[in-house]
Amino acid sequence: MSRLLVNNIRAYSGSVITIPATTKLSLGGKTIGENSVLPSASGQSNKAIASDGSSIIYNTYGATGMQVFTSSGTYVKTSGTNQVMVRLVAAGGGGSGHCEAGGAGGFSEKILNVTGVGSVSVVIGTGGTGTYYSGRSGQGSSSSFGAFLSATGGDGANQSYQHAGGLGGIGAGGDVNMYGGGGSAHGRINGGGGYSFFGGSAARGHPRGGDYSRNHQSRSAPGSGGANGWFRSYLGPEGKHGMCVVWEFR
Amino acid sequence: MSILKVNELRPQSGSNVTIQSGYTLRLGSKNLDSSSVMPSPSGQNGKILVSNGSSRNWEDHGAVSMSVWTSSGTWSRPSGVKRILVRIAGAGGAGSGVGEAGGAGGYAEEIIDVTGVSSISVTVGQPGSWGGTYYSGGAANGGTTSFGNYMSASGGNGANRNYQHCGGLPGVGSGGNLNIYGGGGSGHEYWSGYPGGGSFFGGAGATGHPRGGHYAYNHQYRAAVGSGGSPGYHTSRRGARGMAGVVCVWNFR
Repeated sequence: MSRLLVNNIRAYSGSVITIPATTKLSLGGKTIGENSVLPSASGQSNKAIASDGSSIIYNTYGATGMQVFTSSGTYVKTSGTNQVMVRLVAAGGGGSGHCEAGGAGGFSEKILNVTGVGSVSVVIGTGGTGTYYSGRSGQGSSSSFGAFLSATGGDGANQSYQHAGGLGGIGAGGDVNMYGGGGSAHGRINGGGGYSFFGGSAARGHPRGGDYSRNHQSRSAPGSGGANGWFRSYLGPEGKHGMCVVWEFR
Repeated sequence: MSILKVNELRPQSGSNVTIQSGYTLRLGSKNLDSSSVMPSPSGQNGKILVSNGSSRNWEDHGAVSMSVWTSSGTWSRPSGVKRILVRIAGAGGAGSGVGEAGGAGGYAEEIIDVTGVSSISVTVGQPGSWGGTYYSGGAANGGTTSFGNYMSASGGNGANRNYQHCGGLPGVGSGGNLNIYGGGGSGHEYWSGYPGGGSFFGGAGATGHPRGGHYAYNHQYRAAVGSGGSPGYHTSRRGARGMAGVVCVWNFR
């Protein structure tokens, strides 16, 4: 053990005093080396000190972006994303006539750690087909976010029982898993499709507006059930397609 | 070049060993100087170390607050806020009678980097001034909500505004990462029919019966923001107004 008693250290020549990389400098019990030196803050505005697993780096942090899927595709993680908040809704069932309307798609929501994930396959359900009064309308198809989350579509009108509204679908795999709203049953003229997490079904009308609900079926919230055609002479609308919304966090 | 081999450094007097100004201590390949030393963590509980472009400071992080508008105003960036998650809905259209209901306002949602922004103008769509009306009458359209030039959400139409006896078509979002329609209003039915179009934030007000007077109209404010107005009972009771839109901003640091 050798000990040097000194108050001021200077370089013998030049301006740099070097501790070789293989040598550890201990400050009161804590060892410091190359990786203890904070990199320059210059040009790193609004970024925070973080680890990349081996070194100190500057990283963006917080809620950094959003990706939205209204049809099937692949979620490709924006580089650097650590967590995502996923909201998934399946498609609505189709409507018939005389108030017989489709159920809404189920809903699922989850916060996922994606540090080890590069991409995730996304399936977006398509709306169930509409038909006429007392006819069996189509079920909305399921949505899924990889193997993490899924949701089943709403039933079409008359699917479970004659003249009954479609039942809502249900989410699975999420932190939140809910049913969508059900569709209305046989009534006089106009009922309504089931409400999804994102909102209500298409408008309903009167022959003055032609096949009003059908013509404006795309103007409805994702996952909502198909409304109904007027009385028995107008075609019920399709259910609205599902959707997946991904909030990215770093 | 000179090499000094030593295992322990202690001050000759006092308690400091100083690298004299003008000289640099190099650890391996990296220089350790006054700008590359971790600042004291004392009193900085819960904070992280963030660069301002020239130096590092302890700062709060995460979702720090929320600002909500139900009438127009201005969002001013709270100190240190870097990104915002904005959710907006347009106002709902109003209802008439015999089942004729208003459409809901549209909805939009976006994450915006606001590091170079100090304030953003907020406009919240309001229901039309005459509100709900009676059977077969044109009910008021809802107004558009906007958040600066970033995004907007149009209002739902009132009942009978698109075609006679037809429910109001819903509004839609634009400019956001997420842009969706609200729910449409119902058309001509018997008695009261169905409530107005549902918005992202929830359903329309209750429909009623003459036992409750102008029930839908009297309780027209008990409805989710952005929802469409519900119809009044048959031809003799007045429909409800649509609900005003909203702007919700989550502030992240």
